[in-house]
Amino acid sequence: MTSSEYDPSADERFERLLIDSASSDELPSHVDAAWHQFNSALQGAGLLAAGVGGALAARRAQRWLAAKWLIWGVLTGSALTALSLRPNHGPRAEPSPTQSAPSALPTLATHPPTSRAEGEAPPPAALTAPAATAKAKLHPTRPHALASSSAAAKALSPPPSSTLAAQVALLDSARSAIARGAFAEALRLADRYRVDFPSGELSPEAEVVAIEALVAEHARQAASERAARFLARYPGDPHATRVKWLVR
Amino acid sequence: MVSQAGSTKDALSHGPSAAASPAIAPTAAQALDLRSLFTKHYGSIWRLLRRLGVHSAQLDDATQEVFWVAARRASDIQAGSEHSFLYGVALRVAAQESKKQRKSEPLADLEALPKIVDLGPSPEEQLAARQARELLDDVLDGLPPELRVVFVLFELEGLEVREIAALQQVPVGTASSRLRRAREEFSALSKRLRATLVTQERQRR
Repeated sequence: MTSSEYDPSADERFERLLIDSASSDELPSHVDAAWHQFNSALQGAGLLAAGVGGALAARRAQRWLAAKWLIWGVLTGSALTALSLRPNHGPRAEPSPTQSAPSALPTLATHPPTSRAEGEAPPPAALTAPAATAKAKLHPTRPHALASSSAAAKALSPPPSSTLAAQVALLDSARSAIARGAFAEALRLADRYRVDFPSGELSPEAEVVAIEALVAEHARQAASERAARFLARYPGDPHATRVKWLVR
Repeated sequence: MVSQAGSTKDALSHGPSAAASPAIAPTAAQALDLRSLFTKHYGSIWRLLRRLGVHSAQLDDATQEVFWVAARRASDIQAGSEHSFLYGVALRVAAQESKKQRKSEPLADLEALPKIVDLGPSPEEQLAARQARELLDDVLDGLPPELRVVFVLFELEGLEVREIAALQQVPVGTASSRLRRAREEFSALSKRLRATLVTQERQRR
C-alpha cells in the first residue's frame, strides 16, 4: 500500500469492525452440562473432605445402612428389600442416620428426578449417559442383579459391611495422614487400599488421595503420571476435574 | 466494587483442594445459591475467559476453576457483587492459563494472519462477521497480556476504568495508562493486519 492510498478512516473503520465483531460472541449452550460436571466434582471434593461431617459422613452412613439392610434382606429371603434400600435408593429407606446427616452438596447429578421436580427440564440424553457412565465407574463392583438371591448371597461373602467399613477406614486414615502432613504415610495407605481392595468401590477416591499426597510432597512428576493414569482409567469420574487441577 | 478481589488471590493459590483448605460443605441453601450463581454467570465468565485468550480446549476447565473458587469462598461473596467477584477470579485464572500457554507455544504471528480469502475490493467491506471475529482474536493474541486484559474489559466487556482498576487492584491512573497503551497497541496491530490483507488481495488480482 502506497502512502497516496493510505486512508486513516479506513483503518479506523477496520479497527471498529474488529471490535464490533465481539458483539456476535455467543454464550455457551452447555451450561446445564457444565453444572452437572461441576456438581459431581463438588461432591467428590466433599467426599474427600477430611474431618467434615459432610458428604463423606453422609455417604458412609448411607452405605452402612445399606449394608445392614442388605444383610437383613438376604437373611430374611427378601432380596428386593435389600435392593430397595441400597444407597442410590436412600430417600426411600427407613428413618436413618442419613436423614439427619447434612446434605453437604447439591445432589443434582446423583438425583436428577429431584432436580427436575424443581421445575427444570430433564437433562438431554447426551448428558444422562455420561452421568450414568461416571456413576458406574464410581461403583465398578456394585452388583447389578441383587434381586436374585444368588447375587445377594454373593454379596454376603465377604460381608459388605466389614468390607466397606475397612475401605472407608483406610481412606480415612490416609486423609488424616495428609491433614497432619504425613504425606508418605498417606501415600502408603492409599497404595495399601489398592492392594487390599483391588476392585474396591472407593478405588477412584483412593487414587485421588494418592495424587494429593504426591502433590503435597512436591513429587510433581509422579503426581502427573498418576493423574494421567487416573484420567485414562476414570475419564468420566467426578474427581477428574479436581485431579486435573491438582497437577496443573 | 471488588472489595473481595484480594481474597481471590489466596483462594487461587490453593486451587480446589479439599486437603489444603476449608472443605466445601455448603448448606442446602448455599448449594442452591451456588447453582444459581453457576447457571447465571457461567456463560459470561466462559466468554470473558475466551476473550482473555484461554484456549477453547481449556475453556470449560478454566471456567469451572472460577466457580471452584467461588464455591470455596461463598461466604466471602457479598450479595450483589457476585459478578465482580467472579470477574476478579476469572482474571487470575486467565493469567495463569496465559502463562501456561506462553510456555507451550509462540505468540501469534501477525504475518501469518491473513488466512481469509475472497476479500473483494476492501477487507472491511468483505469480511464476514465470523472472519472478523477470528481476526479480532488474532489481534488480541498479539497484545501483551496486561494490555489485553484492560482492552477486553473496557472495549468488549464495557467496564469503566474505575471498575477495571478495582478488579486489577491498581490505581485508576494505572488502569487508564494501560488502557491508552492497549488502544495504541491494538490500533497498530489492526493497521498492520489491514495492510497485510490489502497487500495480499492486491497480489491476488
